[in-house]
Amino acid sequence: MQDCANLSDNDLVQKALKDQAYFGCLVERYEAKLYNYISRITAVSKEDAEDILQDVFINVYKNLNDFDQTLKFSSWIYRITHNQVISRWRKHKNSPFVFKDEDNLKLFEKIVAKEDVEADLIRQDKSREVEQILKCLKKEYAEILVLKFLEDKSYKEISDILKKPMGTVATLINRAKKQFRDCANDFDI
Amino acid sequence: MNNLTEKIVKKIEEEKITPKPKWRFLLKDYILWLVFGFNLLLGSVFFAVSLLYWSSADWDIYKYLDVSVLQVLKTMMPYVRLGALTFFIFLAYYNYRHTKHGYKSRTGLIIGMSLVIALMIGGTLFILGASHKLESVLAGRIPYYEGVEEHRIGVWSHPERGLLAGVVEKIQPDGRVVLKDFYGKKWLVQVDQAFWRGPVKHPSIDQKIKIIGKRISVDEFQAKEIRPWVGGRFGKPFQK
Repeated sequence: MQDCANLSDNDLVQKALKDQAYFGCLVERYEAKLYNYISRITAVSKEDAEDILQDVFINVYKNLNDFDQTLKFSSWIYRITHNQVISRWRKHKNSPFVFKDEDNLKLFEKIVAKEDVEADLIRQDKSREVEQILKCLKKEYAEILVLKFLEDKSYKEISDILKKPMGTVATLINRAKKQFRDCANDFDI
Repeated sequence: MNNLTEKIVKKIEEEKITPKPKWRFLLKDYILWLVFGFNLLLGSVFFAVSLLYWSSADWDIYKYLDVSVLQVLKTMMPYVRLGALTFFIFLAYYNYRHTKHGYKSRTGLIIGMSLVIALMIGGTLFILGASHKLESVLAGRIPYYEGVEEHRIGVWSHPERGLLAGVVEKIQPDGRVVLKDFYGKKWLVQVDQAFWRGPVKHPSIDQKIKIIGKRISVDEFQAKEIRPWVGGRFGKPFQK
């Protein structure tokens, strides 16, 4: 195994183009993050998520020469993952967005909960209700909330991942937050 | 190395998967830029011929017709050309959007900039006098394309509304003119009291003219104003 802890993503891309062993470093670096991302945006089993992940990395390897050094590698690989998941939705008619309890709470805390609300209380009581809220969101809103609040991506990164202008990203986030709050009110949360 | 990493690296090795060559991505991007530029150019051509259309229109004839300014504007609108301009601007937008960094700009900005560029190039082509040549190329290659000439014939072939046009066939000793209109009908036109607009001040054989006046019988017309066939009161000057 190559020693790649001190190498940046961009260095690894350059090295992987010459020696495929370095690609293993990129896989190791992103495997867990992308696995989580896939699980957050689509309802698939662990095995299916791993299949998607494998396809993502093979695609990334095939298209390494298309990587634009002006982007962050993480944005590029998230973009490929996002596209892979979307094409799977289309192919298998998967239902997107089944959130885990901890994700539900994280989103709720970041969008709705006031700072003085006891986080523990929310953890105990709100998870099921938040799941209802998320089901009432439009798909593109849920998608953008995941990137912003669960993956902690900046506007620029989301713009590069979803291939939308930054202004549009900002607008979508605002609308998504508004719809989230409206749904929360509807469920009386 | 964990399981998944191992599995992926092994698959790459076993299936001899290699990264696609860089030139393929570059070529794709160059083609998108090239098609973007080509669409802008086509949009410019249609704007250049729209300008030709407007410049040779007789904008003041609404005064002689019983129609509103809006109806004249509708008549003078080169729908096909402006439709083609819109179509090519949309194609240019579509191509730009698919270039590597095309997603970073807002739709309105891309369309606005493309339109400004097409209008500037089209305006330049018109000023340089390329519109006539482009118009004849388009008329020769696009089926059912109504050229400026055909449109003008349509506008000026309404003797019942006081608009007549055609070629002078004969000048009679009493000064009346035998005019053959563009549909082959012969008219006897009284021109003695008419105002001649433009550089020509009297009739001559084979001269193409437009006449504003009044139909006085099925084949007689009283001219109030006579204009050379090519040119208008606004835009392109009248030509002999």
